[in-house]
Amino acid sequence: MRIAMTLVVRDEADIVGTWLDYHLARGVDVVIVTDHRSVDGTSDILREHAPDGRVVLLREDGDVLRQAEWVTRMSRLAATHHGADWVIPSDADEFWWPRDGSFATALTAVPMRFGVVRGLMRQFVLRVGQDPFFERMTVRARPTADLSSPYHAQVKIAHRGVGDAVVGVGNHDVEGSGLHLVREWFPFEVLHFPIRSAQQLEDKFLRRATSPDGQHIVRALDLLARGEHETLLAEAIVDDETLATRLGEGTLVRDVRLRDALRGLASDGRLPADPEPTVGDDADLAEDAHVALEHDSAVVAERRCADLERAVALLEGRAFVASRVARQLRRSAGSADN
Amino acid sequence: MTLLARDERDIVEQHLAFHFAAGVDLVLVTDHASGDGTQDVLARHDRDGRVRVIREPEGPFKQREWVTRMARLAATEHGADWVINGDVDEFWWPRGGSLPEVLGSIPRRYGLVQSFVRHFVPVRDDGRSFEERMTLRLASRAPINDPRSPWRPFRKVVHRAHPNAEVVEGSHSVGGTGFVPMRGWYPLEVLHFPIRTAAQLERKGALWGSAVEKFYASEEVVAGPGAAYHALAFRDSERGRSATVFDELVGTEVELERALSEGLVVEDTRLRDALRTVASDQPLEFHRPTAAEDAAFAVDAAVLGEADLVRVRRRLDELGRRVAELEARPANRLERRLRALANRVRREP
Repeated sequence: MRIAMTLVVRDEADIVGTWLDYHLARGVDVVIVTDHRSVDGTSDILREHAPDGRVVLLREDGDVLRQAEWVTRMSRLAATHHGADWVIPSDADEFWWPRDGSFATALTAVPMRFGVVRGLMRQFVLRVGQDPFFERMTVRARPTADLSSPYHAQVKIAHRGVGDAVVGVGNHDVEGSGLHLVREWFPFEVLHFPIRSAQQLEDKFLRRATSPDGQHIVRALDLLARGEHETLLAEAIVDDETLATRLGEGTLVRDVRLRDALRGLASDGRLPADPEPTVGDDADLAEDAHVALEHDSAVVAERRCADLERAVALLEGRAFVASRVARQLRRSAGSADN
Repeated sequence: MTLLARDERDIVEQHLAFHFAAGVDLVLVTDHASGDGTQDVLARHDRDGRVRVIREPEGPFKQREWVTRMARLAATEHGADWVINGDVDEFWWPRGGSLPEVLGSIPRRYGLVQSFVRHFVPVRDDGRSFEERMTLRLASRAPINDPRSPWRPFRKVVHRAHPNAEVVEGSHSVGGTGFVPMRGWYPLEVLHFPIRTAAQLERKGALWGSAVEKFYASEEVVAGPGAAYHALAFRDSERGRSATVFDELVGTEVELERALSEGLVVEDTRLRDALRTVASDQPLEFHRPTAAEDAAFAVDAAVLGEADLVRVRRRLDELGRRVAELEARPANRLERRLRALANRVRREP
């Protein structure tokens, strides 16, 4: 099985090298990258990884970020030019974690009549410091259903390599020949490190000004435009006091998997064996999935149906009361006539 | 765990043995006038203190009332943390740990957990016990939405023990608790063996028919869609067709081979193996599913989602009918009539 990942990057020098090292060590065969106007050294890091042919570089220099268009192009290229059986569109702050050890194990298990599986985002919160992000950011938040939060619940897709794939904005969905989704399964966790420093936070959102495709981006841009950078930062950051309280409440969860994997990779040149997931880990994942599925169309349809049933029952009750009042008035009018 | 039992001699012993081995502490049973020896099995376990039997005499089958009573007793008198409202033909299989381990891992804020019911198809009755014979499980690729089918995909729920729990027929949902169900996760499977022998099918139909007829005759109740399959079994038993229907459900060797090769049924020996383990006094272990097992499970569970969509469509159809009725009595006409009547009353001395 041949597995490709795709990446759109712009000025991600603090993370892109780590991202490539991790995913290539995980067994990804080829990474296709669209580098959009990077000027911070990202392009050099990409080039350093390119010589062995496992990293394929594309460059875009236009003003506007055409994320979905470029991801779709890379998905198709992966299928048509690189023989990918599966394609995983990703961002540089997303570390894909197969729950059963390897990408190949999870993807081989998908029955042929299905072509899409989903990864569940796990939101790691900002902890400030000078260490690399994966040493500092070892705590994740329970996601919220509030789409304006940077830590809102999300799913990402991986799909079979087909020449007509169309990947939606944000890599949350995909269409194409045979690309049927296995809905009730998350074989991947996507360990997500969206905000890693104050400067990167500002740069991240300002770069999206040409394509503000998400409520959290729109809100962040509004705050930045009003000069409320500190508000944005304060919402993302978790200080020591908050950490202790929220770990106790269970709204933050310690998670050192990526840190330990990257330490192992640095010292041994290969990833250590993953910790075996427990039933408790399954429940922990299910808790985040519960929030992510809040926006699932089937769940929304069921909820709207229940709301309508309540509303109609209320109207029926009113109509019933009105008809009884009318009967009584009619009766009293009749007795007055007599 | 709560159970409703009536003449379940061929399965009740296995049911209790399995669930005790899986970690159930106490089984509350409402025995509805059993006379085939089921009552003796229950009495024996009652003496051991692991079963509490509530005996109900011959008469109407009050499923909702009895299950609700047991669920509440589990909370108020037996200190249960979780309550599983089961049927005797259901074996609750925890995924990746014992029942206490799996239920103990559920975050405090959730009080309802969904379970995916897995139907085992009947096979030829060669005299062996059902668990030795019935090792073929249905693996539907699309939902069977026929309310008369015993193979409709459905969920059941387990709930945190609560003194006000209200368990609906079939234990598909539990109200009165304010608990939030966890979406998209099925930490328990329900291995379901509804049709085991021709004699059992006939007995099931006859008992169900007579009990429910009495119930419907005694109270104002509308039969839900789940009742259609039981009603058919009742009709077949009345007409003496149960054996024929059983044979039709079993099918021929050729049909079975084809279903297996097409993946419409799959071999699943988990219950058979578990009961063999229990019989040899070995502890039960519930291994973690592999990626392939998880994927196959998810694909089967996807059928539940599709079935839900059909159910939502039916609810919308019903809503459409009710809205049309409301529209048929225009509010403005009603309002005019009310005003006229009110004026008339006011004019009277």
